[in-house]
Amino acid sequence: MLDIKNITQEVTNENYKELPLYFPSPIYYSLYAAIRFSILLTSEKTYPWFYSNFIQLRFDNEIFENQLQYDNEKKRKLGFPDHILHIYPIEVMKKDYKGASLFFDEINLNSNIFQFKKETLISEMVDYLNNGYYITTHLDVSKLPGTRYYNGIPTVHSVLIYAYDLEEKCFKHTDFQNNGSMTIIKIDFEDFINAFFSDSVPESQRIEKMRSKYYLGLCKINDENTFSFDVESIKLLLSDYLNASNTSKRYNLLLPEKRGIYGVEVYNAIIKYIKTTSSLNDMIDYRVFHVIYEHKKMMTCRFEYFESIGILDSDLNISKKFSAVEKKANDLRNLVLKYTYTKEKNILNLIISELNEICSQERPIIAECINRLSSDKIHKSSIVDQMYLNSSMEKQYLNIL
Amino acid sequence: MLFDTEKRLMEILKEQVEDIDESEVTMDSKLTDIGINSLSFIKIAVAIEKEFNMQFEVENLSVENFETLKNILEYIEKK
Repeated sequence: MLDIKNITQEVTNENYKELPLYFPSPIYYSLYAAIRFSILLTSEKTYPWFYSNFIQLRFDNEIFENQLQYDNEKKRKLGFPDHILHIYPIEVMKKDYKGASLFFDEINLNSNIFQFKKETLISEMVDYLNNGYYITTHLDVSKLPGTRYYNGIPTVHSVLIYAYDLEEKCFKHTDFQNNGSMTIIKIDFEDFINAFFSDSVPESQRIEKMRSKYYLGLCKINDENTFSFDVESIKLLLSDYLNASNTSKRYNLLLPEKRGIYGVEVYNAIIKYIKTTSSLNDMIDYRVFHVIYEHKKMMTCRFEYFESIGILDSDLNISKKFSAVEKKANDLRNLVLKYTYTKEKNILNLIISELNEICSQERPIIAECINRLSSDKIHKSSIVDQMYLNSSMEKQYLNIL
Repeated sequence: MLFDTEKRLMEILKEQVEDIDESEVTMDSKLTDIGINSLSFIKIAVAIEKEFNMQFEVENLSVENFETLKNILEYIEKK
């Protein structure tokens, strides 16, 4: 379950400011999402929203087919291009979609409307942090000492700046370590300026990723708004997962409808992907299996939360049962790493068998959860109790009180 | 026999873990304390499989299953 112990303390003194972070983010396979979750989850009021979403898996078969054309040599140099498996709808965390805007005040300063100057940028950013704004931006990471990309191929990459230190003349930002986990890195003001204004990255790449040559996103939590926690919606989304339905139809007010393979059908798609890549002697994208693991980890957390607020009977041990699926997904991820190092083809059969087992183990647990979820027994002391429930539930809820 | 296994395990660690200080490593060292993470553990497991002609079960391919080097040593000995 999300744990407020993971929230770092806000620190303010004469030469130093550090805004709180939920660290590491519970979902970090996607950097833009990890950045916004790290901010958002510092407010407990967002937790019912978090647990009510990100339930689906979506396999992007179109991207997969395009990637079959992608040169192996490029993959070795640049890494795999786009993710083919996503926790859905992770896209709402992109700045363009503002899916988290219920809890976010976000101001985008971009170079189409705002002039960024090397001489004043640092002091302006210090002011923004002093006013409680987290800063997201894109930097040329090949110019950032202490990162795994330093002196590599120039490329822009999302970063979250959440602290400054005027004595050490540096910011603190979040990034990935070599082993793929998230870490916190200091960046000297001078290196920041070099990476922000770097000419080494083609302008077309900057425009593609930022919609402008330079930009700063200023984010602040706004927890005056409330989320309508709705057990029936959660049941629908869990059913979509089991029925492999295209959940994007439910989110079409917020996001364009997306084709793809959804829910438990993604396992067959991944098996097809493994067989295809293997027949082409291509590399398997390890990230696919990390996404499966994060999905199972979050599902366990979700069930623990449901049990803690009383909408799922804890005597059913659903979260405990699901943690075995999570463990299996972790084993699978390790097995894929082993394959990556050894290239032993017989491991592929084991990977396929583990995928099938995960699918058959999780189905009955999720089905049981759908059948047993009920708003009737919601705990009066839970965080949801303090929030507005949707109108159909509100009546029942008030009756209990 | 155990001494030989220990020696071969140390050789694997030297090859697979960057910046490992051999003089500070004992069989009671915790894996996390000597810089072994989930990724380097898999590399070590693959090297152990090759060196000792054995196979880790899928459920044992995780660093969380082995707190110390001694635990890995015992696992190899059991195989």
